[in-house]
Amino acid sequence: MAGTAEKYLKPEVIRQVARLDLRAKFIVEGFIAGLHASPFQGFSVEFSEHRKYSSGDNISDVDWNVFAKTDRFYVKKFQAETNLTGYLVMDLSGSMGYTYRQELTKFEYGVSLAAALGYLMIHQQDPVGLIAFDQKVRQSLAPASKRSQLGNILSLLARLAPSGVTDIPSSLHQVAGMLKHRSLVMIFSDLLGDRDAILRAFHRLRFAGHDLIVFHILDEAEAEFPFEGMVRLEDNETNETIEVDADAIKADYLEEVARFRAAYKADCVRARIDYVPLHTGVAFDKALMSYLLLRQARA
Amino acid sequence: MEMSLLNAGLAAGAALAAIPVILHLFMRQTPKQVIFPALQLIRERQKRSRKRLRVKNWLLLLARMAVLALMALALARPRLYSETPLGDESAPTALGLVFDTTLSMDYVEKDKSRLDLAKDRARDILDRLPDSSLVFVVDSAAPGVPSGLPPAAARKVVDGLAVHPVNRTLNAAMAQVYAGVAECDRPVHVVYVLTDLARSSWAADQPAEGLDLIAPKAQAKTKSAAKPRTATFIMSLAPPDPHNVSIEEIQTSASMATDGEPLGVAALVRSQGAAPATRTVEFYLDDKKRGEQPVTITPGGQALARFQTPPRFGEGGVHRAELRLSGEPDPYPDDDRRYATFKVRPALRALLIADSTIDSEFVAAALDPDPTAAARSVRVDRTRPAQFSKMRQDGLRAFSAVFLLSVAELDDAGWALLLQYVRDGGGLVIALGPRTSLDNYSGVVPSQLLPAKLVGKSVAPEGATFGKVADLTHPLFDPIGKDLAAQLGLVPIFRRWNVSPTENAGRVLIAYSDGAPALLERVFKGPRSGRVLLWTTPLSQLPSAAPDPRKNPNLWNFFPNPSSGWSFLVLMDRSVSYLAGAAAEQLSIEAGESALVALDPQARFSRFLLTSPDGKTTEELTPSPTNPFLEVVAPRAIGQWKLTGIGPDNQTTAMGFSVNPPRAESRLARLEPPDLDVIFGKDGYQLAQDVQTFKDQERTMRVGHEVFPWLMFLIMLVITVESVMANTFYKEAKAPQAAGA
Repeated sequence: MAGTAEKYLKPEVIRQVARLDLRAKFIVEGFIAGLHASPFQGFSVEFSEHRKYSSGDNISDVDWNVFAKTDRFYVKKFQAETNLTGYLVMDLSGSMGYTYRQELTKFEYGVSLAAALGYLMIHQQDPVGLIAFDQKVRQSLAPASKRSQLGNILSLLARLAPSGVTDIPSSLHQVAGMLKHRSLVMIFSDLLGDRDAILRAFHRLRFAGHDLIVFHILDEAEAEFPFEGMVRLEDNETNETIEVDADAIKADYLEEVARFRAAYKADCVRARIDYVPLHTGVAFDKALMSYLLLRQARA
Repeated sequence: MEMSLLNAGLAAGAALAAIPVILHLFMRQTPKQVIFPALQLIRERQKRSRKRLRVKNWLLLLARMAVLALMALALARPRLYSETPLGDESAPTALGLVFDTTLSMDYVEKDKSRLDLAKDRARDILDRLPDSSLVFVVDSAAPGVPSGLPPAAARKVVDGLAVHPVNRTLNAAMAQVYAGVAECDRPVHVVYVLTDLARSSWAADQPAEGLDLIAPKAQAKTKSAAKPRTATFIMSLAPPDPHNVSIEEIQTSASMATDGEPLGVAALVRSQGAAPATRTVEFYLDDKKRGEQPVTITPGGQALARFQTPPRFGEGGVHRAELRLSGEPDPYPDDDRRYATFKVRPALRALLIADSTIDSEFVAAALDPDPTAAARSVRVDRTRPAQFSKMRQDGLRAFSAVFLLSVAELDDAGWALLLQYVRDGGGLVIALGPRTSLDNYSGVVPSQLLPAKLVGKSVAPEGATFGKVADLTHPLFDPIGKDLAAQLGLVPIFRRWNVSPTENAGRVLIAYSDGAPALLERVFKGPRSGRVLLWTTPLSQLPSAAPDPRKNPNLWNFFPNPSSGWSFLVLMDRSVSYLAGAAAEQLSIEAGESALVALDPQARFSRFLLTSPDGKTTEELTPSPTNPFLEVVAPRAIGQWKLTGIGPDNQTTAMGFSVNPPRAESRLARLEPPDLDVIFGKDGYQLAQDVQTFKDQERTMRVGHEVFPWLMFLIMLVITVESVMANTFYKEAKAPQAAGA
């Protein structure tokens, strides 16, 4: 990631860019620039993505440049083939506004990622909408693919602020009721809540025919538990506190986090939901790449 | 197992174990306030692992407390005891010192005898003893419970100790020391036994006497129930590699030399050690060297050096023989000399009475095989019963023994003559034969003489022989009783007289194989005891042509026949010596035995002067008017004692006897720990083979086993366990998997 554009994939760098539209642009450009050294060379907004060549594909669609570099056959897929309505679903819970020592809160990280994805989709002519919820759906923007839609989305995202408690399951049920057509639902949440209820809400969306990508965003401190000695931990949503010997429970906690993520992952895999575990210390390209690969596999 | 602390004050440091608790309770770190939305995950985890976490924390707390407590305990230097500790050396002590003063303690190595070493060790012990202690010094040769002495006085007693040829077993000496120590009121009771552990000094198969006095139960019964236990230390002074060449035995060919006949003297030389030994045996007769002979003995082997006295070297009286080892110096000199005392007397005379020559032929040949020889130990005269009856009593007294051999009948005069002869101290041998008259031998006078009443002739059971020898220590048989009994078992017996032993007078000496009496004895007590030996089968063998001896009424046994072994010859020869009174004398004895000197009844000694071998002590003895022997009870000094009999006109007669060191002392065989287990009980003693071991054992008994090293080991172990637990419980968590990967 030596290139200038690619540095914006780092959360600590993108934080210095105040305007969200620029953030989205820089993230996507950085991501695209990174792809030049990859099998995705030549990827641009003019076509949606590459996929592996399979028998029956038009030979003229084979990307010979990619073949020359990778010795593999890739076929260019154009936007007409992948026109899919996307919804960016943002969790506004108070816990999303947390970071221990990172540059971005979970929410800011999610917003940056959502903006980048929105930017990417608009440039592929995919209609994109936005839904934000805490205990219920608070904000929504109908999907559209026109260029002005990006401005609307970014403007709304910039206005959003996490606060208070959240009820992810009922909010997702509400979202499920709002979507009339088969869509790609991208959820940005820390998923701290009743796991079974949240999974049931995922299933409902999935059974309604929607594709689901869950960006499970934890703070770096939540993922790695960097504390030492005695600490009094306070839940900023419920104000509940708990006193622990950080050294004593670190291993157990990390095991619990892994278990927590593994449980979501296992259920999501069963329901053919794309589950992307992230934390705020992870560069954006990994999240975007996950998206891209998942989309590619889905195509 | 009991425990004490050398630095008890430091044990209070164990209270430091409370520090982790105090730190945990009162000095808890103020927790840092942190916002953490994922509290849900911690709570869920805690639900499952709260108990485990608590156990982990407790384990760690306990391990840390244990480290502090163990360190405090280690600094206090705890010691363990298997029994009550003796306490340190400054405590007033009842100290028992048992000295083995048997001859083997004279063994010299590095210019020091075992007894010198024992004294050195004892002085070391006494030097360390507080003045308020009492010391009980026991010399194994001296009986009686010793009185407690202050250390300084005990030192003088120790300095004066010497070895003694006559000793008691150390088992008995333990009773003396335990009796003294157990009653002493000093708080510490210790007994040291200083011995070379020679087997001859101990009764290895018996427990030490007096163990009951120091047993816990016995002590509880005494007035103060809190009496201390008595610790017994055995300090072995045995040389590590003993080597010794000794004259183990002096053998004479007869207990009494006959005028004009040489006497054989032999030395049995034994070597103990790893190397062969060469020595010279010197023979002295009446303090004059008469010969020497070199001997080479293999390791652990023995050799015989034989000498002979000149045929005529001084008639009458008592003579002294001495054998000495010379050559290389010997670490144990006490057994390099042995002594024998013997008398020279004229040839004994035996009168054989028989109806026919053949009846006395075998006995005569056994006693006096060459009547033409100049030197004869026994001179035999023969006579017929009729001639015998005409003899005068005075004439009969010249004979040491009279044999009545298969005589059919003897008239009353003859029987009376014999009775008087026996009552005057004479010796009579009667052999019943085929023609012996039951009536004649059952008369009034014979009944007073014979040891048994004749019942009748009988045919012996098939395969009968002589059987059991009733008393192997009888002077007639000793010391060859066992061999003789084996030989007698080879003699076929076909016929015999059945007899019934006279009540309170007849004693069976030899029985037949079916238990019937074969040889009986009757003793007539008097100034000089008379004896009658009665054989119930003839001492002759009549010629027989019958192929089956059992069908020949004249053939009663094969006893005199050389084909039946040597028992006939030996018994006839010993019978004359025995009846002459020579066999009863004990002039060559081992230390601890009593000397028995036969007295001439004609001499009428009024007193005796007994002079020790070194001539330094003289003791006056008075004879018993009824005892024909003078008994000197257990003379102590080794060597040749002089005994001077003083008659009515102050006429003196020189006599004497020899005392030799006990043979067992020369063997230098050692007791082994299993033997000591039998003597003192398995845990009843501490055995130290050298000074260092002894010091270690004494320190252990006084201050117990030091636990410090074990505690340090335990501390290291607990620290290691604590580290392992801490690292396991608080292990560095694996870096979380990169999200999104």
